[in-house]
Amino acid sequence: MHAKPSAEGSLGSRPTSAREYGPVLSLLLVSPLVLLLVGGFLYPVGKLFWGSIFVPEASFANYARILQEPLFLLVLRRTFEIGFVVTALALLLGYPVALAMARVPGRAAILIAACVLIPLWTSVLVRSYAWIVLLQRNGVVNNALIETGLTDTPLRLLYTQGAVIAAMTQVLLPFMILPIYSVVRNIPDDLVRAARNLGAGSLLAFVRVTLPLSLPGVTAGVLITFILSLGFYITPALVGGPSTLMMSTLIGQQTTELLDWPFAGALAAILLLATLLLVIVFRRTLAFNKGFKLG
Amino acid sequence: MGKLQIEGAPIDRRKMLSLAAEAVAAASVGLTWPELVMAAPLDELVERARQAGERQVVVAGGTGAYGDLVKKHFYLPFTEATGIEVVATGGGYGEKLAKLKAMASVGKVEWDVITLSIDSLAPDVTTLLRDLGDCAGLPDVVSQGVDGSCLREGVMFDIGGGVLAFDKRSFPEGQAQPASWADFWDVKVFPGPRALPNIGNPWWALIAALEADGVSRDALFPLDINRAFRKLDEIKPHVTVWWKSGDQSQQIFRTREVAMAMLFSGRAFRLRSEGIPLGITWNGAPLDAAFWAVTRAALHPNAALALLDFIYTRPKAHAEFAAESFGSTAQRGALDFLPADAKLSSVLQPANWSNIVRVDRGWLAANREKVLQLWSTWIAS
Repeated sequence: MHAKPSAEGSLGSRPTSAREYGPVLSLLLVSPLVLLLVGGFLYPVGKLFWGSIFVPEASFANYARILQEPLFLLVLRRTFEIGFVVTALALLLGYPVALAMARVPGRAAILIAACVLIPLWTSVLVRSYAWIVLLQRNGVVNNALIETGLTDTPLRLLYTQGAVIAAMTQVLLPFMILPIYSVVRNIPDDLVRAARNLGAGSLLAFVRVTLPLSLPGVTAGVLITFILSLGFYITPALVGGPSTLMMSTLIGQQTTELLDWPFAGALAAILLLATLLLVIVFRRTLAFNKGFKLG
Repeated sequence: MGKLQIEGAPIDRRKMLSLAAEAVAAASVGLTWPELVMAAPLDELVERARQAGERQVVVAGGTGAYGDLVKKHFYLPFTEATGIEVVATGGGYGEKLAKLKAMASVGKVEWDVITLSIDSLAPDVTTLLRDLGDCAGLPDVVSQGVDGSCLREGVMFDIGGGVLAFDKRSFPEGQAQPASWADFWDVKVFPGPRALPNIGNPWWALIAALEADGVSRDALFPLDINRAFRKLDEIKPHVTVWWKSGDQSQQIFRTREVAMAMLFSGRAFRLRSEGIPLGITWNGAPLDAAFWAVTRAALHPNAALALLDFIYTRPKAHAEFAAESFGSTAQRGALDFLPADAKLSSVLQPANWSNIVRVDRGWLAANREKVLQLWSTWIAS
């Protein structure tokens, strides 16, 4: 890294930017973001949490209820389980795609990028409905299975946990691929070439060089995918059934059907707290944070 | 028709006769006005509204296409017959109920008539509605309504239920077809995916489960909740869709996602009209009804009562309304005006109406919260 401030504004110049802009200008520059965060996130979320304890009177009754009624812990556990599975699947499927996007030359790379980005630009609603078309009893998948003789009666695919996981993985895949891609792309080819030059096979070169250097991207992708999956709303509601009820749907029910805002606040607080805890643990134990902090 | 004109215009023959009859009765027995009111025919209800200076009635009813049909078949004819203007407003049942409570709490109720779902008749609601007793003051309700049309706090309007509907492509004519909730539970004789509602009224599924478990209809209430859930455990693996909206309940038959389901009767008949071959049975269907009530603090109570009585006249209008809304109203006479194919499966058919299960109001009020909570846990696990 650079020892002196550099005019190019490379990664290494960041710690010195305060000297370049001065405190007042820096504050001015971040103020839109801070205002947005306070007005659009801290204030409403704070109000919701405040209500969960102090409305109608100060008590932890809403939180006690979450612990007492089996439903809420069940749904919380399921939400995290689905989050884990979706994140793991997205990593397994996404990493090779990210690698290909960064390494394959020319038009093929553009094609791969299009396959990643076009779904990302398509509405989640549309993609979820597409899964219904695929998975329903007389849908594309079942018809194919029957025509190829793999089964004679249609399988139950829609409104199952499997459907939720498949659809969520597909919807969230770009959020895994893009961070990994951005890191892999910046790993100099020279490093792999050097490894090969020193006698490593292509697999060993990948395991010893590319993979460790790409881990910051993996960490970012895993975190983004996992956090997004915990709060997923539309897809589980459309392709899942009551036995795949997730936390955000439960919170939605409290606010729109039962109009119990304090309890919704308590559920949201628990979800946020559990998410924060997990993220902290994740970064402590698994983070390869040298690169991640910079990126 | 007993057509009346306001502002001292000529009164028609029926009105003359009824006035004459009153005069005779009053003269001979020495009765006074209020006592005669007990059996007031519609014209008299209208006359009383006129004398009280009530020129309009404010109704919080349905909205959208349904609201337009009610307006066409009931509000406009009412205005034409009585000169009383109907001011229509509306919204969802929950929304209207919340508004009524809010208006009552500040002592300014703007609505004279409100339409609600029968399942919303909890004690905190009934106190906001006028006690109609046995509807003796609404003679057309008594003489023209199906059994039980008078609810004391209101009169039934739309009636239907959670019928057992099955796809005849899965269970063709000439072979065994499901005819009861016991058959719905019988996955050996009637294989195929099923659907049940998950729309905040779990007592419907509990009723079906207990019927399937052999509980006789008059012994259903108080519902044996544990037994019902045990029975529901049996069918759960075969229920592939727990529908969340009426539209969804129709869609799963269009795409053949299920072979049989508990459906709102109106949705089932709508599907039939689309050409989907559905078998529909009323056997053990939980009652689904909307009722019209007069608010306790109504500003136009006489006009409101006249409207409630009026909607039980003119059977032909009810038959037309039924055909256009795919529902039915509680007016018995409409049966005579229904087309032949609709007649047999109509809820007004005495054999069908007597097969419907009415939810015990007292039980529901005492157990609603508990059942909802048990259900939400059961269904999510």
